[in-house]
Amino acid sequence: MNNIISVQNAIFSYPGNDIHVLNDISFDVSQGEWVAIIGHNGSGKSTLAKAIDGLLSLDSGQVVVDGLELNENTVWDVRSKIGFVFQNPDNQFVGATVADDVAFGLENRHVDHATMVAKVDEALKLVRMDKYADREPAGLSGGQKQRVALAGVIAMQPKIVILDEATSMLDPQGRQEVIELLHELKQRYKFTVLTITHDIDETALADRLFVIDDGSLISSGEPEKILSDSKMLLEKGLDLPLGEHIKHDLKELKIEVPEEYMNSSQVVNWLCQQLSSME
Amino acid sequence: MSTIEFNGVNFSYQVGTPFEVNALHDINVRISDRSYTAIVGHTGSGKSTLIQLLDGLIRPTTGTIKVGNETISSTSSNSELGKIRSKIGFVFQFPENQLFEETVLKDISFGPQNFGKSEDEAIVLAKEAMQLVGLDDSLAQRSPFELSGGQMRRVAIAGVLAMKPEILILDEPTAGLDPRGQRETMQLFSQLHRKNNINVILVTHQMEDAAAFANQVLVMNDGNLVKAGSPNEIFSNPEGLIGNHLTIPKTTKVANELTKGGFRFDPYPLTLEELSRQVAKQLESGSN
Ligand SMILES: Nc1ncnc2c1ncn2[C@@H]1O[C@H](COP(=O)(O)OP(=O)(O)OP(=O)(O)O)[C@@H](O)[C@H]1O
Ligand SMILES: Nc1ncnc2c1ncn2[C@@H]1O[C@H](COP(=O)(O)OP(=O)(O)OP(=O)(O)O)[C@@H](O)[C@H]1O
Ligand SMILES: [Mg+2]
Ligand SMILES: [Mg+2]
Repeated sequence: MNNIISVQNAIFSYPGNDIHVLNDISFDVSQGEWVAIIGHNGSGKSTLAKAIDGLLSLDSGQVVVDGLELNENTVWDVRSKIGFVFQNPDNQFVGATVADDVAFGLENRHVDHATMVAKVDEALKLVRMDKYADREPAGLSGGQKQRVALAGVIAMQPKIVILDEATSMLDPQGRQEVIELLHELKQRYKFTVLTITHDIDETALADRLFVIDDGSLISSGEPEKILSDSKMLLEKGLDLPLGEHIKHDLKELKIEVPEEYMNSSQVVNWLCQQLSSME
Repeated sequence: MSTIEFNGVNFSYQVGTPFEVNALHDINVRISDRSYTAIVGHTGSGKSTLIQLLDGLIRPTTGTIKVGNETISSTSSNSELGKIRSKIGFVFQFPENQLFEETVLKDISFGPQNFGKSEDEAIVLAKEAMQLVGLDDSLAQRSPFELSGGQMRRVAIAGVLAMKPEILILDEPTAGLDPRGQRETMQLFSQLHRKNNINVILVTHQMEDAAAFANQVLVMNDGNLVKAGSPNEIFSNPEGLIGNHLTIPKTTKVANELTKGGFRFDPYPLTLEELSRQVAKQLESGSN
């Protein structure tokens, strides 16, 4: 499989502080993969995402995006392949209106005006913000801002989508809808997704899960494998997914539970079987 | 004493312009002293607008709000609003919007100093608050803008706690916190509510938190307050929630499914821990 992102021995410190915020991180992501990244506050997730987007440059190590080695000469080409939703949407609004803002990502892509208008309109419809096209981004609610930021990326149709806690302020139904929408668009446009999130149940849908701890990539693999390692997850300040959480609590109460990873409906089925077999 | 009462409150942004947005319609509700109220509702339903009215950040277009003996209306003066504001600690939806000082320590000690504490006293309060929210000492001299998202959130919360407010208003305070941080901060707020009798008003999208901690839940939909009740009343009616773009708490969902498979719950569990306790009991009682 084709590696669309490759990070090798990434080391980075912020100016004036010699702590390695990225401490020798290496990984590859293949084209079309959905990778979720979890880790405690301050572990380096946003820094890593910014390094891939060329928003900060590594002290040493290498980032290759879609065959281009990231450096001063390639940074604009690299960035044009990536749609990035920042942790705080306020840091990304540039347009005077919602529509202008969504169009911004398209402007240096040489699309004609009519196409641009159509793409903006379609993207705003997909995130259910078309009624707000003429509003000022600053006068939106928190969740509305996050939806508009997502529309910007959807309109751009990039090869790579990086989402830094992009759904943290959506209502439960909206969050589910947006995640389904992204999975659907990914099928259609075959883009690659890196998503940073604190919502452990959301990560179960990823192809692969990375755990970052104090600047190091301490674990990576299929969600089933990582999410069943409750000892590691709890030690690192993270959460257990719903099914594993129930199993963990039951085990503490001296109930014997299966070892392998189970999602919540599997746990429910298993418990109901246990109960009926007792009668 | 700080009972809060909304009486016929309407609010519009940019009144009289073509961009006027009617964000709240005829809100009537009572939030009693020393209570813990959760406000839930879809994106854009008016939650942040509602609580910003309490802090005098915006004034009602029509109607009045009573906070203890003070009244907020469209004609309230800044000095009247200032009196109310001094009782309230407000954590904004986006932490960056409330950080401004050169260092983390200065930022957190600003509030207490502003309300009359000496610099030394304020620093003691600030360091205490840093510890409560899990901010490492090594960050004290850092600029609050050179932090990770979750660290900024912790600074914003610490700044509010250091003021020792009577009323704590929290706009999605755990967004951006890691799971342990979310658990610990929710515990902290709950403790302040129980031990120090602080009135807590929490805006949240985490139905689990609303169910586990609040004694009153308000449901907003499109600028209207559509429901007010105990967590049990609100969350035992899944249809009502879905109609308002919300979901039932994960715990309730699992409990419902287990009930279909023969488990019985009494009382209905509002936390996973409680659910597991009741499940374990039923599995044990059968085995002997
Ligand atoms: N502009 C900056 N200057 C100096 N240090 C910074 C800056 N931004 C972040 N840091 C530090 O780098 C470390 C990693 O920050 P980063 O934002 O990458 O964390 P994160 O994993 O995204 O955390 P969160 O979950 O809180 O968003 C933290 O210790 C943080 O204090
Ligand atoms: N400054 C503003 N100017 C104009 N309209 C605004 C402004 N702030 C908010 N609104 C509008 O008022 C309505 C209510 O917004 P509010 O921020 O109260 O929603 P919310 O319930 O807090 O949503 P969220 O969960 O997304 O934060 C929204 O439709 C929003 O677009
Ligand atoms: Mg971050
Ligand atoms: Mg809000």
